[in-house]
Amino acid sequence: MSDVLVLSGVSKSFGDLVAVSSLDLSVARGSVFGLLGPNGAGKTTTIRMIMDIIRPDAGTIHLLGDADAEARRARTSYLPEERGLYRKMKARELLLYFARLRNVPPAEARARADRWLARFELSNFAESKLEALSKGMGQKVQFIAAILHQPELIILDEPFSGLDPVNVELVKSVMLELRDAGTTLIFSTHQMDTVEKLCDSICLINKGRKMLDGPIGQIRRQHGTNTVRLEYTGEGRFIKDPALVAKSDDSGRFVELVPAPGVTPQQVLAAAVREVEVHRFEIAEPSLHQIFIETVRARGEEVAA
Amino acid sequence: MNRMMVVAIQEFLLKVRSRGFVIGTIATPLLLAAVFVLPAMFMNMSTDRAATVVVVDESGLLADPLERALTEEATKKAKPDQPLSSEQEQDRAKLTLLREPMADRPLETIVAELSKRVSSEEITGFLVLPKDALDGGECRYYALSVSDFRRNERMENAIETAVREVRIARSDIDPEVLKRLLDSPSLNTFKVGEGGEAAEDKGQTFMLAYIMGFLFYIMLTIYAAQMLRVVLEEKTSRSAEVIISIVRPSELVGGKILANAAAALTQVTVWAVSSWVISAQMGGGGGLAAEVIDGLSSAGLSLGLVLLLGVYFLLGFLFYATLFGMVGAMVSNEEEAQQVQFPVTLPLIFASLVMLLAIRDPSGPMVQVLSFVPFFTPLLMAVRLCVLPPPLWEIVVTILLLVLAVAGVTWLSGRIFRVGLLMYGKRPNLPELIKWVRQG
Repeated sequence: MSDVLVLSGVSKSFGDLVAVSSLDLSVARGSVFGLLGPNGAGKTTTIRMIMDIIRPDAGTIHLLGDADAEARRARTSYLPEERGLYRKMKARELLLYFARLRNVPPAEARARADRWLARFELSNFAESKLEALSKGMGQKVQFIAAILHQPELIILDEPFSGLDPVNVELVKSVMLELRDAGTTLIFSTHQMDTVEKLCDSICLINKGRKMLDGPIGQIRRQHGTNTVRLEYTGEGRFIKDPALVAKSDDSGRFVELVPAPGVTPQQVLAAAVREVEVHRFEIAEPSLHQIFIETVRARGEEVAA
Repeated sequence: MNRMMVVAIQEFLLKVRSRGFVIGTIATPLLLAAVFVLPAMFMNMSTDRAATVVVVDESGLLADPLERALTEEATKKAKPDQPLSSEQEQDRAKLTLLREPMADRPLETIVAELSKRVSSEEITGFLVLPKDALDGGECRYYALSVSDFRRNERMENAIETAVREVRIARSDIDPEVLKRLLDSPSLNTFKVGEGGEAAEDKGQTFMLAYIMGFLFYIMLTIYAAQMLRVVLEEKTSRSAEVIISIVRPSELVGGKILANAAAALTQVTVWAVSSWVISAQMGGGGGLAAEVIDGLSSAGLSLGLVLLLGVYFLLGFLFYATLFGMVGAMVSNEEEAQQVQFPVTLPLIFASLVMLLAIRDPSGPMVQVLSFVPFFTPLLMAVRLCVLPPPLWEIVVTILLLVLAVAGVTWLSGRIFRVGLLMYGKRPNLPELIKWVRQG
């Protein structure tokens, strides 16, 4: 499987603000790729550079094997976070207009537009002006506009913000269908549960720097399948023992910890039972949410120190 | 189909079906008709009520000729080969003159008496012709309302005629001889064409040049300037980011400029046709459109001239619309736009002033030099072409320069749009603008 997108050493600054700093990443064809990061991490800047809306200060971006600007326009599609609409256009008119700009044959465009409008429960609003639609409906129209010409690569900036749970599920299922049909999808978000269910690979960035990236399963394994969660009463001195515990997050009655190298969760449990009363013991894979917070926080401290 | 054309067609359709455009297109000719035609109609409408005016003739000589002059005045004023209009007939019928005998009473008493009759509305007014009226003495008209300037004018003319008649009668001069002596010569203008042939010009050339220049000015200040708001709208609605991932910024803005030009031509055509129809309906009451059409046909508006005017219009429109679009891309709201567009509107206003000079002196040095400056070329050349066709080399060079200027601003705008369309907040200063251009 080839990579549809490769970024190497990409940097971008706005005045004194470093938005993206020597970022490397690659996205495999036919995968769903999540670009994660807290607010202001540089997600939108990265996406805009990929879309050639702004130019990087340094580094190279290879999209679709160095296709020229025209081919990129035809084969990709982009749904920005700031989703402005032509308020005076009607929903179906907007879809057909965009399709015409992308050289979709008119009859084909009409058929697809009607099919998607029905799928997104917008058939009754096809002839409504966009200014008369609710925010969520407008967003669905924009989503259809982005997929109508069947691009190879779809880049979505925060596609779920502003959608109710029912519509989030609808958009998600359509994204998976497109993936199954061979489309590559890249999207940015900070909704971790969505990422876990949808993405094959992720890249986590913070303050313009890459924190971690790779296939989700691999990231989880790297962050240890041996996280131990413990609910207890008593004085847990063992938690502070560096020979036993590598990392811990202790809140007095509940602790989440990672055993030191070579230490099994069972040994931790044995030590715990000697000192405190154990109510609950659990060996868990870390959630992406935890990895996200932990990584962002750890790097933050690193930077501060 | 070319993407720029797709944008242009879509924008044109959106524009012509917008409520503002439909109302503007229909309402403007009606409004213009109201502004131009109605005041003229009211001014010429005869005042309804009959008037009775008493004449007090101290000189004892003027009453007869005055009455004659007043009754004949309308006849004289009308063109000799035309019958009196019904309004003039009515006017004449409605003014009744009564004479007040002096009977050796002092003038003050008579004036006091007659004033009372005026205030009781028994008579409309009275006219006092003093003893020395023939030697420049002051005549007076007393009435409740003295603001009917048409009646005042008639009275004054009639007095003048009467005074002259008496003076001539008293002198030894033969009235026929005098009439010949006072007969004023007339001056008619003939426009000599390129082939040396002369054609009489009753002001059509002036009319044509003036209207053509005015039309160019209006099209540029109203329609080309709309590009500012069109581009700004794209920014404020945040639709720019989606659309420029599909089309190039220059295609987007180019399509919008074409759509605006087409909408402008549509609207002006509707206006021209409807105002022609309206003025034809009013029997030439408005006359403006009829005069233009007269002017167009008789001022030698050949196909070549129309084509040249079209070229200048199109290039001028592209030039200014692109400049205004650039201003729209640089600013974030209407208030900023008002300030930043000034450097673009200023040359337009200046060109409209020089245009007036160009009508009078189309080949003067200032007009000639300014014609080569792209900011002024469209307006000045439009006027010059109508008044006195400039030499061919000037036409070729001005068009070339204008084409270069259009290419230049298009190139520049492509770079400005690229950055500006997604730029919100702070307005760029000059160094930043230069950076935009170099990066783009």
